[in-house]
Amino acid sequence: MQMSVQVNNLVKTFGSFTAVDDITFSVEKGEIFGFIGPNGAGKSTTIRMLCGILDQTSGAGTVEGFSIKDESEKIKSVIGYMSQKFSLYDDLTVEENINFYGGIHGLSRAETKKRKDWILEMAGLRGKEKNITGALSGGWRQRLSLGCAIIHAPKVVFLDEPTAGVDPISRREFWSLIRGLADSGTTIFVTTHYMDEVEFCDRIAMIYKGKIVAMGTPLELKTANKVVNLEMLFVNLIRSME
Amino acid sequence: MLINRKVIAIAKKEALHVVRDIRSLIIALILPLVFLFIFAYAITLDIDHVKLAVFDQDRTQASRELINAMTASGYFDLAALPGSGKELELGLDMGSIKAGLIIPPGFSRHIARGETNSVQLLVDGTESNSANITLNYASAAIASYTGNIVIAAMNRKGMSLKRDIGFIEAGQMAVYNPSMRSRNFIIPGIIAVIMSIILAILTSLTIVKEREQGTLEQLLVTPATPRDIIIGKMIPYWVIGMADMLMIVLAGTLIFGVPLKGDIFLLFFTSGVFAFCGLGIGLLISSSAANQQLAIQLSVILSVLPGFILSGFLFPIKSMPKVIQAVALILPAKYFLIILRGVFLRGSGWIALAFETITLFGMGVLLVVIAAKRFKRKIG
Amino acid sequence: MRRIIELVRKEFIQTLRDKRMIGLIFVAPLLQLIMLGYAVTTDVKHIALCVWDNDRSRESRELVSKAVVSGYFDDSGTVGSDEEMERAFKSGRSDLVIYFPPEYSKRIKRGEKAKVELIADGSDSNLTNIAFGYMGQIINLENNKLQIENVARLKAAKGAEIKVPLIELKPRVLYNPEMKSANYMIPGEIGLILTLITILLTSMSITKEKESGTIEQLIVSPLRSSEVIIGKTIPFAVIGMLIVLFIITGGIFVFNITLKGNIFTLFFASFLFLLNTLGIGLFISTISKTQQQAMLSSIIFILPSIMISGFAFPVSNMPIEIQWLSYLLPLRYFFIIIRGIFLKGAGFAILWPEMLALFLLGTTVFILAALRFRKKLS
Repeated sequence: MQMSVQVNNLVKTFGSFTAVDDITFSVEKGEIFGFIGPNGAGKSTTIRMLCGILDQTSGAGTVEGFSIKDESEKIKSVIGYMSQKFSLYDDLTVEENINFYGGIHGLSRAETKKRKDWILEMAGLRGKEKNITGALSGGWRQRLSLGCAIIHAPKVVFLDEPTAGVDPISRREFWSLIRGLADSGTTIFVTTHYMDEVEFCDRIAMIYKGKIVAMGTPLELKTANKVVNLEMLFVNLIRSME
Repeated sequence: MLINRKVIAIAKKEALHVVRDIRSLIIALILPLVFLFIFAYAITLDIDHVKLAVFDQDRTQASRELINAMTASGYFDLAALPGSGKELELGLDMGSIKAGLIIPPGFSRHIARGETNSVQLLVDGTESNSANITLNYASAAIASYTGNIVIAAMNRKGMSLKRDIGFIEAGQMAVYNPSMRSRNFIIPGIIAVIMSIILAILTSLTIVKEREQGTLEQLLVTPATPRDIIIGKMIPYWVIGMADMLMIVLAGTLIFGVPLKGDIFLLFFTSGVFAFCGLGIGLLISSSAANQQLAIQLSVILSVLPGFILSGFLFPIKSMPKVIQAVALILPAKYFLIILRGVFLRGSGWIALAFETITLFGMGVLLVVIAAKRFKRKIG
Repeated sequence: MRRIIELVRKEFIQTLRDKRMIGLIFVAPLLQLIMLGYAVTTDVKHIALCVWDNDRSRESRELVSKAVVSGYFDDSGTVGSDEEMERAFKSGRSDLVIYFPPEYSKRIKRGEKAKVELIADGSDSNLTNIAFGYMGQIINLENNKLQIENVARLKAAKGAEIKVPLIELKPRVLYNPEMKSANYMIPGEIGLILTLITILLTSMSITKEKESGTIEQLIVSPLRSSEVIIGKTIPFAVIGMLIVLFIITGGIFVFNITLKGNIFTLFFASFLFLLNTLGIGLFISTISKTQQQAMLSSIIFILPSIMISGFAFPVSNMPIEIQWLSYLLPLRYFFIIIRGIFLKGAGFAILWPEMLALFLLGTTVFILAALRFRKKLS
């Protein structure tokens, strides 16, 4: 089976600090792949390298068959990216934000309109098209942000801590949206530090201090390490490393 | 293709930011009017009504005639008749008078006896141009008064003389601006100054602000190229710059009566090109500066002050030191100002202004290209 | 009191931790001063003079060479027709043309009135005015000489017993005897930069805290709003005074201008002036939501107020309504004070009315701004 994302011996250093330390993994098509780790573990750095906005120090990687080293422009047309800040323009309305992201992805007016309807439906924002984005609550901003990131129906979606600062109910709703996307064939690459969300992923990699310390399906990891929940496993792994 | 769907999307979004921040937009559109008003009404470069104090130690018919000769020119206003030299100097110290004339005791007696008198003129030299022109007017007034008393004295001695004894009279004429209104000179220049200021201020924040707020990262992951982003961001501000230009042209010609003798298409074309220069500088600053405060200070140093000071708007470039003249050579505003004055006052056309127009065009293209190149696709 | 000190300490740490801010506070003003100081000169030299001489006499050549020797005019060749003159103006070869009619020298020798025409490119009316002024002075001097010669000739013709009165003008230029515009402009530029930097810095820094939301932290703290205001403004006052110190000494050393008055009087007056700019910056921050708004609001206040406060153009030449308006602008008083101290060596005895005005205006602006700021806080 062809891999959606493939990473081999990827390294990123900032001066003397190694943010990503020789990691190797792959993500299958239509899979929800969770990247788990505490703040500063190297999650965002990895995502940025895969999206082509940060150069790697060494190693190689492909996204949908395109090399992250010299085909980053091609990668940009097949991926969606949602950064942890829910990067929306606060002074624009919901509709204007959607139109904008449709436009810069090169969608035609008719396509944008069709996708806009779908996004409004999905995010439950119908009737709020004319609201100023800055005034929306966290859950809505998060779903609108996701909608804008996938407006062009990308093959792979990178979500960088998409649920940070959002209430539990919104988080649950968000994950069901993600599951729906994956079921329709979109690859999801998501980072989080909420352990309870790990269960929603098909497969996970645990990252700590730039290294992958464990990888597999949640069930595999639990049975192999004989723990009842993954949080315990993670805490144990980190202790053993200190 | 230069303008594609992505460029339009970015331009639309940027236009929405402008419209949402209505106060900034109003300021951008009001600033030219404020400048027009100040330069049309408040500031005249023409110097007259200099406040003169006379310490008259003679107090005779003759000394009064001398004072009249000074004030009759309309250049001096008699502001005070101090009773001592000290009082006169205090007036200069406090700035209540700008020049002081000291008429010695026995002034009329000397004249009657046919002796030479010295009168002293104290001039406040702090503002050197005014001082220079003051000296010129005073010496002309005294020379003409002397001429009169010489003739009178000669006639009394029985030598009938024609009124004019060997004198050079200088007729003055100013072509292109015969009424010598400084308005005509200043108002076309305001176009360059306002466009420099507004465009730099508005655009120098656009990229750095998106970086601070995190939306830039989002933008970079889309297929929009740096060129798309730069051009898209330029369009709405270009429109504002042109609107400012149009307002000044309309108000300047219709309300303030500045002549527009040359080709209006040349004016619009060069304004359009100049706007790209200003935008290029602003975006270059914005993609280089680390935060908004720094971007603002950079745009003040690189665009606001040079537009105001180095462009030749108020201060003649040819009097500046060679190094500064060399700096002015790379300023688009300098060339635009030559074009503006040429088109408005001299009626110069495309051929006469070909060099400036081509230079400006080259700078515009170069600045936009550099801004797009400098704008990185990557972070960190 | 302790709380204020803590707040001030925090503000200082925040402001000075960022190396770029230090550059902004100290390098930017000096750069601006250097640029302004060298560039802003209202002295006009090298006026391009073309000669249109239909007399071709010793007298006409003498007058031209006197003009060139004066240093104000550059010999830019000759023209011989209207078309040629027009071309010279349009190409920028000539700023001023002096035309000598035929018989110019003959008339002078005969003791008659001789006429020359000065034709200037009026599109730069300022330059034209000054060119006419300089040329006028040169011709005045020539006339004085002719007068004496004529009188002497007449006396010789009629016998030597007649005495003819003459008046000689002895000009003395005070304060700036070499009449260098730098002496006038640089103190003004110090005022200009001080205004730009302190208003922008204050208004933008406070607005930035609003944008990033940290101002809310201050509101929920047990600090009283008056303490917040004092704590927020003291650092800017201190930084402002540092800029004053820096830029004044910089101006004196870089441009070699003499400070005739007392430097402490200057610092005292600068402090009064800072009260005004801090108040204005604080006020702008209360009406601005974003840094861009703060910036634009500052600029629309600063640039016009510089123009009508007498930075480059004497206030006394302005219409009376504008002069009244200028009484409300702190810069007007500060320009008088700083030039008075630098050029005239004036002190409290002469400048106290302006200082009082600065003090009253400053406290009023500051209190109004602080009240508004406080309302916004609570």
